[in-house]
Amino acid sequence: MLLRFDHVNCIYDPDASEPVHALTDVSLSVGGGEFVGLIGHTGSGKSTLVQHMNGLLRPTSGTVFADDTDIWSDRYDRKALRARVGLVFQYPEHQLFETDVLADVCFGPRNLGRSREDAERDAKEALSMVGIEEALFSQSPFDLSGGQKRRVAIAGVLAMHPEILILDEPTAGLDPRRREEILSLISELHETQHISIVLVSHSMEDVARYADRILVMDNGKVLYDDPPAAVFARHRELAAIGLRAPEAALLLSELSEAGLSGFDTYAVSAEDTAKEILQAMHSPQGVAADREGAV
Amino acid sequence: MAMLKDITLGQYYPADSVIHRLDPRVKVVVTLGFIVSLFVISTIPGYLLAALFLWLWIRLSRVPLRFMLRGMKSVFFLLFMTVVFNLFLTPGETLISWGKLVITKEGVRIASLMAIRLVFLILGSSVMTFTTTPTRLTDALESLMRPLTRLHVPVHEIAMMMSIALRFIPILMEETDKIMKAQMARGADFESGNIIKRAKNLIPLLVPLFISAFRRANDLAMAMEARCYHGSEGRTRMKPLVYARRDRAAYLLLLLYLVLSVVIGRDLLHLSSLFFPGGGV
Ligand SMILES: Nc1ncnc2c1ncn2[C@@H]1O[C@H](COP(=O)(O)OP(=O)(O)O)[C@@H](O)[C@H]1O
Ligand SMILES: [Mg+2]
Repeated sequence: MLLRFDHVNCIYDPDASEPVHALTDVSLSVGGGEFVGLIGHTGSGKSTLVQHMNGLLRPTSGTVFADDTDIWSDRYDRKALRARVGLVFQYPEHQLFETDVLADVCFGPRNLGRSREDAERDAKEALSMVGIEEALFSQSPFDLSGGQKRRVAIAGVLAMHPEILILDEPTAGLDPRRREEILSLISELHETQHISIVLVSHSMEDVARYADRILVMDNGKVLYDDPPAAVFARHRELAAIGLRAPEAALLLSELSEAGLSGFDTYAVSAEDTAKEILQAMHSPQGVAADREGAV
Repeated sequence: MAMLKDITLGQYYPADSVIHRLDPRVKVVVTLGFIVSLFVISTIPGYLLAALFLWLWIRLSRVPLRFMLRGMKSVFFLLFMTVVFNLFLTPGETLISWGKLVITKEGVRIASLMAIRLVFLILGSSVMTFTTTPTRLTDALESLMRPLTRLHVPVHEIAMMMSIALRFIPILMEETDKIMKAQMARGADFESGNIIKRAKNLIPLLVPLFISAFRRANDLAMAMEARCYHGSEGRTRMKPLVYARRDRAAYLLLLLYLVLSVVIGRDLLHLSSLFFPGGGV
């Protein structure tokens, strides 16, 4: 499915002394099997934007279309939309409430009217997708470790079989290893289940490795909507809005300023970066930078 | 969430005004004085005086009137009932009658009196809460109630508990909003169904909310302990309350108002007829 925003504005508390203009004229589309990264510093409007994607918030003005239907038109079934557009909130483990893990994951499918057996089947499937063993199914969700809780919470949304999965800062508050695990889990879901992903983060590094496209937000506006390499090429503009391009992209751009030319792309992984540098150094254009060979 | 947003009574409205800058103790005393005056005056000039005072109090605070009136919505029902009861249940000289329903002259007078009093009372005290942060307000109460420590009332502890409770209201409201949305993203429905079903549907909201409240309380206790909080003894303030000139001026104005309201607002004959309806002196 495809979600399309058409000139969407969002103002919180329009009557307050200082109304917050959280989204300003946002037009974009997500879905269609893509892996989209949504980046911006804290308060730039990322969470507000994603809550418009499944109809939790209503635009102050503008329209949100799901497959060309206005999701705020009369009689539009937003509950069904929320099943198709799964949204995993920040710190999703704070929403766990059931007595055991399986029952908690069943909450979503049961709300959609599925039978107990169907819901349990969906829940078990989702739990195995996120790597929770059967032995934990009957435990209290509150006895799990932080990383496990978060996986269970993600499973709670996955069990509804969303076509688009939105994750709001899914790695917040996790140690580096758990971070890696969650990120590779998301990328696996994208590849094996063909779910479109919207990954919200304030860290370029997280998003850079997996996203086909990056949306950069600042102060309620979408500044860039481009492939990663094109976004990283603007690392100065990014720095100005408080974002840091990935180290590798910064290294390449500094080398090219120092005179080493001939890079094709802004690579993200360490290996690709090394390859790019070697290739550039051995190409005839790169001669001027021979002295920097030691870098 | 419209429901949560309508509660403006007791909410701070940031602005830069004289009233905002007044010492919070002054605002508490002025509010109390104004409320007392409302029960003393009973003549039309007296009410005009109170209206003038209220108008000044609101204008100087720079809080938009429509914002204050939004807070009135929540007490509208109370106001309505008061007026209706007083209108129909006061004995006296008949004005209009439908069978058993009788509106008397005294009923009209007392109903409108009560309505004016209630509206003035709410508006007057909401100026205080709109222009004073909860922290400052509890500071003021603590300072004003200090004499009670002689009677072994734990004034500081009460004030601390109050300020923590007040501090947590917006946090818990935000949390409620977030958990509600998170569960709605999982297909939860908080709006439809009969009352039993609705109550049951609240479990996915209340369990996480309580857990989060306990977690926050625990964190706060820890943080207070880590900063060596040990109650009131020997505790000094970062911003001690000190009266400035405008505060003394405000007290003087209040005094003037109170004297005036006794002089022109009181009417012995009517006042007594309030307490002994039908009787008179
Ligand atoms: N429920 C709300 N009520 C009022 N203002 C809000 C609310 N939620 C967010 N905001 C404000 O909207 C802006 C964008 O917030 P948010 O979407 O949470 O940003 P991000 O997720 O990028 O950190 C911020 O200024 C924030 O304070
Ligand atoms: Mg956010």
